[in-house]
Amino acid sequence: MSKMFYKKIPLEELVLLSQKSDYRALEELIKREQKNIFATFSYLSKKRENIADLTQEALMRMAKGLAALRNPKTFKSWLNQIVTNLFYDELRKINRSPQVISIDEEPHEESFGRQIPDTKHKPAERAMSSELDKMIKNEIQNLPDHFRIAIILRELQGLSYEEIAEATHTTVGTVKSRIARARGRLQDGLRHYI
Amino acid sequence: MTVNLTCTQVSALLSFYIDDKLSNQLKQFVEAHLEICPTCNAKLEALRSMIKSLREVHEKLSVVKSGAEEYAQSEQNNDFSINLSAYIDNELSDEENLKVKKYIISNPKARQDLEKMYKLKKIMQNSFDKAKNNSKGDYSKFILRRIDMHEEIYGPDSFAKVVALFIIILTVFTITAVIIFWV
Repeated sequence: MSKMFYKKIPLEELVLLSQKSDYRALEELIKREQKNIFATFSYLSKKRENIADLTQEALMRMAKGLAALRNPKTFKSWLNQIVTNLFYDELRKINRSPQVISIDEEPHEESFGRQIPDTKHKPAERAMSSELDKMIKNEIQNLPDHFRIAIILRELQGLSYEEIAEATHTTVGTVKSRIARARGRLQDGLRHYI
Repeated sequence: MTVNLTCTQVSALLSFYIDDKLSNQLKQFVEAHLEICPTCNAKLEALRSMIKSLREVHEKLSVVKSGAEEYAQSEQNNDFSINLSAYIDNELSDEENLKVKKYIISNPKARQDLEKMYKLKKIMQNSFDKAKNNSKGDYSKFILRRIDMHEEIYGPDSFAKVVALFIIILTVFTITAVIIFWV
């Protein structure tokens, strides 16, 4: 079957085929999910040098563990569980090991100092500016770990509060308050852009 | 006995009629006139609808007032912003949902907060879409290769082969040992 055929298959069927050791289906599944996972880790991980490794590891766990996934409908939340677990693993590692500074990273890149509103452009154009992207990433990365994972799973992954509660081993009430507080902080941090 | 009232008289009595403040007899006279006079009938309808809309405005005003008070109170203990955040995620119960909607309709400050939240949502999603498009790496071949290697080393087929080979060697060894022993 051609590659085009796999590109058109809905996600759920792709998962089913991959579970039956259809390698081309698995290849397509990885291709579909990798950008999403990479982008997610780029907000979750404070260390840029870890993003590629974390993405690779998440995809590897996905490929290996897929056979054990009973209900293909829960694929998305299952995959996010993998991402969340890797994020927590990374946090534990960071807490244990001394800090490593990347040579790729530009110094002071993350500190923006004062926010100066850009009044020249219309909001829509401004939203496209890469400076705002950096600001958003920076603000998200500065959130406390629990807030960060909750708001990312909600806004970027579209998980329900219940799914987030399950992935982060907490209650729906806690998720609700974490997301609200994360939003409050982000709004505050990005007040000149909102 | 029926008294025929004039239009002017009926007009004067209409508001009492609506409030049911007329004596039974007078009420009958008014009704008798209304049956034959379309002008007075129209006046009655106009008066009724005016009273109705006045009542609605009054109700709305009291909702605004209580909404504003509740908002000010709830804002203090932060409950409302938590519920507002859950509201835009569609994660509230029907009852809570209605309550938040009521606040939003009646309170401009709540509307502003809501708009800010939506704006934040939008710029976050824009940023995420960009991040997704910027990631160029393709891991599929690498992962598949690694899984292949994994299967070759630990896969059930190769494991069965190793076990079979081991059993054959063991059997041959035992038979040889037995033969040597007998000889």
